[in-house]
Amino acid sequence: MYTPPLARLIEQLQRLPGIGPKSAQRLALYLLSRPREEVTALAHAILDCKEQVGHCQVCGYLSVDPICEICRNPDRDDSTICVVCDSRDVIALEKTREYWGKYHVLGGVISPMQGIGPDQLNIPTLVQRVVKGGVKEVILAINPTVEGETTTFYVGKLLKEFTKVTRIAFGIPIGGDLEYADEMTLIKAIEGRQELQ
Amino acid sequence: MAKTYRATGINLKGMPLGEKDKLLTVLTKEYGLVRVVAPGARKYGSQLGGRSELFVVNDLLLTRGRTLDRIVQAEMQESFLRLGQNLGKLTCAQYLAEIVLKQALANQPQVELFCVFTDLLQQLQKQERLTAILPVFVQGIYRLLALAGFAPQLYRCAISQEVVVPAAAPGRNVPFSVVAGGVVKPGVSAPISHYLTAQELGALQALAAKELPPEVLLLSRDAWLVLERVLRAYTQYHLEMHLQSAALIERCFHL
Ligand SMILES: [Zn+2]
Repeated sequence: MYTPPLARLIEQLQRLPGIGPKSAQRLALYLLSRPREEVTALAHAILDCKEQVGHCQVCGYLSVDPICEICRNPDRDDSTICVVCDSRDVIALEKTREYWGKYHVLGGVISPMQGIGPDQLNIPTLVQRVVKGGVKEVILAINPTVEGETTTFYVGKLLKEFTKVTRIAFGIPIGGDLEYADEMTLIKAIEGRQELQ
Repeated sequence: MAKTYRATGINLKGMPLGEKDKLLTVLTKEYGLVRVVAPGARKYGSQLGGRSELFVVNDLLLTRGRTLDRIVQAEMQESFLRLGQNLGKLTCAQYLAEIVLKQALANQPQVELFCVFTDLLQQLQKQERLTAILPVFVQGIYRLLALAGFAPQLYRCAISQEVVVPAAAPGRNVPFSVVAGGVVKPGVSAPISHYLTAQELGALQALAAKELPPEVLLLSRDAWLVLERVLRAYTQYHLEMHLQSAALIERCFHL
């Protein structure tokens, strides 16, 4: 149906998350209609990103340099580390502009049935960071799923003897209505209740 | 066929689908294993978010689609969130889930499998000590195999059908053949995968009982790990699968 180079492009685009055959076709035809410079810029941006962006040696966050900007920033609080699963979580937390500590990106959660154990995650480097000293608090910000719980408890147990370990609260979203919250959220909200000051 | 239908099921697997949806593999009582779309489950604040998590049991209202059915409504009946508080429990639960995913049938009722599996998760969840998890887990593997009609032969030689009586002398002198389907008489021509002690054979035989006898419950952790390895090899061969979760078993229990 498609001439071979177009078929190849559609096939590649379809591999992207959230892109089905129809969207892939639409994107491919759109790219084909754009000027050469624009398409070249896109292709270079993809390649440059792949070639230049790696992971920070300290925290595991995405970075062009061996040590990321957040880890290098002298204004940020070295004594607090927020542990997250994914670089996307760092981006979300950074948007709040409320957190001034550092991060540690695990690269996923423990999932035995997917062959992901503690050794497949960025856990040893976290332990090293904490054991080295100077860390007053580790905040675990991992999703409260079954696998997320396991990861939280596993990491928490490892670090508890070296520093204070806390986890973020889970519950009713701001503007949310108790009546419409699902049971899992309610369970977590009750668990994480706080004494009224 | 009605456009919508109801089912009670437990989520065994989930993966992202498109921008905001999730594709779930659910073991339902009424229709066995089904793959359904949980629309918007990955959207912040979605009611299906928590309900589409691993090991959550829901009463579902589903609508038939051209390729995949979709969840219209879900009401949580039970969750096993506390399984997550311990790596050993999660590993055992996912190990059993892998077997269930392999053996469950689609398009037909799987009431017994559903009940056995949720019962196993309840039992795993309530164990306090790490050593108490192993008997529940190993018996769970056996129960699932038996339900699938694949329980190993443990009283008669799998080749000659003669009664196998372990030698009185201590040591590993009961040959077990995964390929032949259970214990075999010494000298029978079959590839031997394991040599069991009389005590280990006794424990394997006891796994068929509803309640494990006290002497079996007192077996050492190492003995349970031997039984797990025998049943693991047996399961992987007869159900033609590779158990991913098995890689973490030693780590969880050999502390
Ligand atoms: Zn960094």
